[in-house]
Amino acid sequence: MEFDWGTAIEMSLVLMAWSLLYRDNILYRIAENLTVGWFMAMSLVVGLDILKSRVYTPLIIRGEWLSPTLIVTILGLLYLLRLLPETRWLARWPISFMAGVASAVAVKGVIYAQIIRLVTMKSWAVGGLESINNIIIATFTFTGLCYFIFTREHKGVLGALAGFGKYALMICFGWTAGTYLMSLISMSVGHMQTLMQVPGIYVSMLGVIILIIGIIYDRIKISKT
Amino acid sequence: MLRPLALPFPIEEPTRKAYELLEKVPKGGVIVLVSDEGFPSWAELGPGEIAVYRHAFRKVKQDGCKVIMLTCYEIAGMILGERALSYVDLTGLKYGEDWVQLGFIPGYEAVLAGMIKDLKSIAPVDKFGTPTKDIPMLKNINSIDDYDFLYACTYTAMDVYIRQWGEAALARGVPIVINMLSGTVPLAMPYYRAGTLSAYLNSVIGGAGYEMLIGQPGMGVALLDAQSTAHLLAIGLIIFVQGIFTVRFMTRRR
Repeated sequence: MEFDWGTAIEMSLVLMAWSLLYRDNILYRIAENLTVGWFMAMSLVVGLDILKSRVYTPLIIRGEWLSPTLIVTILGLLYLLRLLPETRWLARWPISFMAGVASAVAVKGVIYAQIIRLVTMKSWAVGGLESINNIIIATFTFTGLCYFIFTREHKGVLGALAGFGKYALMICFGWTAGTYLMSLISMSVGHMQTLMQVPGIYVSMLGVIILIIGIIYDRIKISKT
Repeated sequence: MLRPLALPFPIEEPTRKAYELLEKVPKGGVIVLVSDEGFPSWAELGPGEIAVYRHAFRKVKQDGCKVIMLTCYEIAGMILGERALSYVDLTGLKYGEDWVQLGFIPGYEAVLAGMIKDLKSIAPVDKFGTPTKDIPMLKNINSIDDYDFLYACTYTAMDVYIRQWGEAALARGVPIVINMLSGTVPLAMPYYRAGTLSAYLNSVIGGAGYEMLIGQPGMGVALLDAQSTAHLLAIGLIIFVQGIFTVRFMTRRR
């Protein structure tokens, strides 16, 4: 069976990145710089490929000058003028254009899918746990919003609602932190699975040997000083 | 991972629904697969992505369906989509007639909006540079009227897909299925209850459930054991540390 060099290199880089858990070292810095360099190279290659297929080919090869491609290309080139202090103001045009288009595209979909459909949803009292769930969502949302009312002092009824809202927000932030931790654990578990199989297991063994050598070397260095 | 515990796990109702919706795609139907996951999320979303791809291409072989693959968020999605495709048996299938890879189309939300009205305008060429108007499969496929199933795999906000696909897909009865991280599932629940989002896959557990439904247990099922144990460890450590903290706090007060 052919040795999977791609996976072996991938797992080597993973272990080199994890070596930061022990201490900062040259292997970690190599992995870090390789990752940044690879991402930049990949982005550059894909970007050039897109420019070639979407700008160069239609405009230069096919000669389709009277098309939206020309306008968009000019706007894109205007954006580069941001680098020069004298022409920096021209870059505001493509930025404004992009902000306007992005807002228009987003708002077009928001009204039906995110407002009308949700507001007209008839599932408030569906029975059982679902209703309790809906009541909790409504209570937490309302009290959480009460917490952020700063135009009035938090006293009396508003004070009680804001106080409850504070705990609701703490629960939600704790949940956010917990799910983020879960996703990080999942990522690590995924890597561990690959490290337990061939060829990752060979990389793991090599990594353990290098770690032991590193620990012994550090101990010797400390004992000498 | 060394000794699987085979901890039981339920197949969630949205996962079953996602499977049934893809299974119900009619003969010759068009399945659109949007891969917008990133490298950090592969461990969570990869199992579901691979399972859906396997199911979609099984539909291609059995029912003559067509698959359109594309990415619109970042390049990583295209690379990971290709990685998921490497787990699929493409024997007997022909590129350009059974499936097409449109590659990375920059623009994110604008691309999602554009593919509803005019696919060829947002993707004039496929990943390999072939003009889409020359691809046999795409001759009669150009807008939401021609799609039968919309799938997206995302590790960011899923409401972008709901915004751009929701109204048009709902009007034409095209199901939307999103494979998402477990942290974003609560944000998707209102859309699922409202019916705008037809079904979803809840990260690893959704992926593992989908693998069982297609009869090909894989990475998801293997990961679930290890992930469950890791989470139990995390909960145990939290309880332990909180217990020590509480005892110290109470003894200090005395």
